[in-house]
Amino acid sequence: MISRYERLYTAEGAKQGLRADGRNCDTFRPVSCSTGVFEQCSGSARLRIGGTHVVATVKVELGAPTPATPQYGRLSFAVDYSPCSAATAQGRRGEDQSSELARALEQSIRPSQSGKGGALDLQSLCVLPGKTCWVLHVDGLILNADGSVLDALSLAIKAALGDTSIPLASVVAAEDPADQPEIDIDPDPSKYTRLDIQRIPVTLSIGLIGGLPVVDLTEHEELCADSMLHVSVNERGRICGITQRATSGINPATLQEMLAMAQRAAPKLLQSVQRASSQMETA
Amino acid sequence: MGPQPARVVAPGDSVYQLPEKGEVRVGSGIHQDGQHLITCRPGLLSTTQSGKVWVAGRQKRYIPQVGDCVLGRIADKHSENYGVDINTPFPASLPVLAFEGATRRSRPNLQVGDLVYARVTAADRDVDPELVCTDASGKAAGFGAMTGGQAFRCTTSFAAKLLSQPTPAILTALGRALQFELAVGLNGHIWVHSPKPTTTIIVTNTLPKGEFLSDAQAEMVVKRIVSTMQ
Repeated sequence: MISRYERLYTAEGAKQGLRADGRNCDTFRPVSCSTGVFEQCSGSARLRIGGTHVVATVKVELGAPTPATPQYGRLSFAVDYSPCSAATAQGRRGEDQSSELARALEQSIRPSQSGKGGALDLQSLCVLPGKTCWVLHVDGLILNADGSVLDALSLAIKAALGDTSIPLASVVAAEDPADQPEIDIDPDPSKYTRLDIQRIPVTLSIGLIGGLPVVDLTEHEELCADSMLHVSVNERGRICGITQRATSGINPATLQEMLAMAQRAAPKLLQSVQRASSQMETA
Repeated sequence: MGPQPARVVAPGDSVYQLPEKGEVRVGSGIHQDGQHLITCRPGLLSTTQSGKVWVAGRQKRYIPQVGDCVLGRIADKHSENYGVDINTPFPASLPVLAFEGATRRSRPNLQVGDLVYARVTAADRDVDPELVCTDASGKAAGFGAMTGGQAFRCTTSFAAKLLSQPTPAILTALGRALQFELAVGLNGHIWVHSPKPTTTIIVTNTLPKGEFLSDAQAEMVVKRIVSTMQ
């Protein structure tokens, strides 16, 4: 909740290029990320953008592929709001918000119905076509929500997927040809494979405050935004997807400006995640 | 019972034995168990010459007490009163007639989300807290709706420190260097307004930093920030 004066103050500030915490309209809050934070998962990451604090985990297990895509592995997404992360996260409303976030994240990574495209090579997750494949369970948990939750989650999930190691699974034919072939999992960590996360985009939320585009909104600023645009941008600065939230429309010229802003900001954000992952490897 | 240097206490500590005669005023964080005063939360045990005892802790949730000045946000509008969020476990109620010069005909027109500076007149664990926007003599005296500006949160202990005497160095230094209005609510909400948005931004970002600075450090921080601004 926010008073009309605060809304006016924030909008007037944006017009002058000033924000409540002293940032410019196109500056992010400090991002800190660490990977490999949980022992029980195949991959995990913890990420903070200012006051927003999220955790992402990836669990890898063997499962059956969908009948439509027998040659591909599977992905499943879930996002949880911690009830104390924000006042609005309690009860039914929190559930709606988290399923909305899970869907948005899934759309930015999942390939099309045919299994082609997408940001992850799901074909490499196939073990025995039509019978067995690796299933990636991607879970996000929002510990504290202070704006730009989707941005934080998309970065954390990218970092967690980058941290994920998949054991080597080999198919061993059964002695009797009529039997199902057996799947042998090599416990040797040196034979684990990593996922290729190069193409996974980061989703940036750009708000329109007082008619001006602003990146990385705090919870307070999100309340003042007339419109929100979520832009998925990959490492090369290419736009992979756009969704819009909130009521007000966006002027086409402003839209172009917002997209350009997202393209400029994405590489810097992705670097912060890469730095965290490379630090973990050298450590 | 004489004054003692503040000491760190944990919940369950027996801190005083009640004297044979005289008066002890027991504040938050302490409860009485027979002849003993026992703490029920961690913090610094504070006392005054006049026999007040309480535990000051870095608490974010505000527990209302009669006479406290708080900064609240209008959460509901009813015909007779406003529901105000003052960061308490239950919302407070502010009668529409509890403003200076308010009558049935002319009443303040506040909207949901607006900020008000108010005084707590009733605080009981079983009843919702009550607020008024006047001083004891019915004058506005600075209470009422806050127009313009920006609000932010701090711990209740820092808010109490800002309101206590002597005024903390960070606040006097900021006040000397810049021109701004400030309303500190004991519930850990602070409102800042100034003619220039840059000043408001500086105050909202500098003031919370002063919580753990010594006087000299606070002076230096303010001097540095103000010099970069000009």
